[in-house]
Amino acid sequence: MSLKDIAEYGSGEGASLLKEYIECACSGVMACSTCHVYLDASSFKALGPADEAEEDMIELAFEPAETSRLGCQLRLSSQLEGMTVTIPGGANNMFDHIPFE
Amino acid sequence: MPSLKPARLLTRSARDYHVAVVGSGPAGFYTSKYLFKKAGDTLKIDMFERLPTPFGLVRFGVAPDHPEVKNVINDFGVIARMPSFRYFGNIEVGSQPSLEDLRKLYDAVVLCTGASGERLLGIAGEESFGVVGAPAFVKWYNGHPDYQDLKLPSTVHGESAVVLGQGNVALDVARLLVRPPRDLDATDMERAAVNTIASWQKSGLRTVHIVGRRGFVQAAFTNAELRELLTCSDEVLPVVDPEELALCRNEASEEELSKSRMKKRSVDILDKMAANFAEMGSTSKRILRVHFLRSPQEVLSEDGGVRGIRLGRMKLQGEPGRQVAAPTEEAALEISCGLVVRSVGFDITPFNGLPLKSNRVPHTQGCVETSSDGLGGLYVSGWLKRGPQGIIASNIGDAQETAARLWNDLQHQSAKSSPDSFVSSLPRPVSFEDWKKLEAEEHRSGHEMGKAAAKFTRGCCEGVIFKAQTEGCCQGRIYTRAAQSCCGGRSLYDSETHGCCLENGAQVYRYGSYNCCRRPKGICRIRPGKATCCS
Repeated sequence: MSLKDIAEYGSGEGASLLKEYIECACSGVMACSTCHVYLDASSFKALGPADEAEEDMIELAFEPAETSRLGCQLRLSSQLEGMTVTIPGGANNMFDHIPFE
Repeated sequence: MPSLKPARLLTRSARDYHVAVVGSGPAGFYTSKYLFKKAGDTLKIDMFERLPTPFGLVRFGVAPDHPEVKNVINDFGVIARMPSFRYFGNIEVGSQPSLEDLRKLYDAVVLCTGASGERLLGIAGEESFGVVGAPAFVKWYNGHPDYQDLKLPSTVHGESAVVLGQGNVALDVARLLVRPPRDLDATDMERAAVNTIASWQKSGLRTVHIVGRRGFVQAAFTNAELRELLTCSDEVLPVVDPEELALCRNEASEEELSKSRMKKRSVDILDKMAANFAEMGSTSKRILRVHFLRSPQEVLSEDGGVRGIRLGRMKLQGEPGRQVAAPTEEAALEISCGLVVRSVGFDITPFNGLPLKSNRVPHTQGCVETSSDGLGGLYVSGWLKRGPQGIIASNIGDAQETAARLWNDLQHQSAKSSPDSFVSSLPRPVSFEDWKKLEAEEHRSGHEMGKAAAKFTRGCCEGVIFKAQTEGCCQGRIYTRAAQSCCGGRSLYDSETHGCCLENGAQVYRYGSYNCCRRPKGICRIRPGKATCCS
């Protein structure tokens, strides 16, 4: 069960909030970078390193950072309890903060 | 979330807004998606696409050996099936209806028509036969109906092809030229194209050069595609000259490199290719050679056909982040070759009624012109708006901006009445349901041939689509090529038992009983003991 799975199929307030923010253009096969998220430092470490194919896609995401991961590869486990996920600015900044009248 | 505050509050009419979206690629579908998110039930979208089939470059631009990239069409299918969405394929906006017609009928029109034009290099010999642009070449092998007649050399002179450019499209083209044809045929790549590449390889095509004018730090390709050159096939050896690789690491490039996670990771991949360089002379594999700091000076030709290309040596000049390629006095490299694919970018193609200034559509947040004088507002999204660069996902933020701006503008106008009577008068549109049937047929007939899918390439026979590989159109009737033929464009006949005599008007005749003669012209009855032509 990945973060992207929760966003697409989950129910409840948290899942619907995630659904607002996380896109999945390639059905979760690491052929895009639309589910790109930032993690807090300790969750990032607990998760372990991303594999090469995931790194290749993270490079193409909007403003990748040290703690970037793809939501579709983020396997949830009890180890990650309390994890904070930050949505990169590029995923959702055009839509609701329009600086024009 | 902050809500949008309209400048003036108008009484909203109870009618739904109607928006026309022109173009069915990622820009069109993402814009529709975000418009629905803003508007909910109060918006109806009609999408118009020139071809019968939807999805634009997702269908015709993505490499056939990258099928997972096309998964996004599942998302698009969800949008297409929404009750407030209608798809009309086979309708060319700009000719019939005109852009102005649409603006008169709809509350807003969004142009998502992309960029299909070619960028030229402007060098001598560029017009030679055997020099093609990647935009056309890619559409040719991807089964685009307008590009199936692309004229290409039957053999590749010099056993080499040259791809100019170093973006991912250049790597796609190079990789597909050297991959084993049986691998290619298992994809949805057009079989005729697979056969052409197979015959090129069989007649000697051994090396494909990929040429870029700057260094690897500045090159536009990305790591997944670069790495794929190493892994795509046992029959392929990617190489790069280690000395040339070292040339790329001038001071300014080292600085750029230190700041780029992506470029740092590319060094490993290129080092592996440099290690392969020593094998280049002795290997039996097909070679993919990546060149840096080389720029085409002239295409060499004979009898109008390409025979080679001269590449000048370049050096990098300028501040880190802004380096350009400058010519040097060093000796140029001449490569003997029979195919040159120019992969240096796309360009906007103008269409009737489209406002263009220095080949870009002027806009603000995607708005070209707000609603006025009874004309719905005009908006742009995708490559037409940003310029022809970026991947499928690059359209997301862009579409969100245009959708938000468009929705905001609509609040200032009242909705027109429904365009339904216009829509019902459209000449033979292809609906999304029709497309789903076509798609199922493409998969079915493809599987029969051992392919992922066999795309419909040409073929509108009196309003009905047919697949050109195995079928034809004979005066409004579709026939199967294996069993029948079409004589003079009008008479269907069984090709096992009959022939077609074009002398003296196209006439069908029965083998054995008749013959088709030059003199006297036409059908002649065969009599026992007599010559087969009756004069």
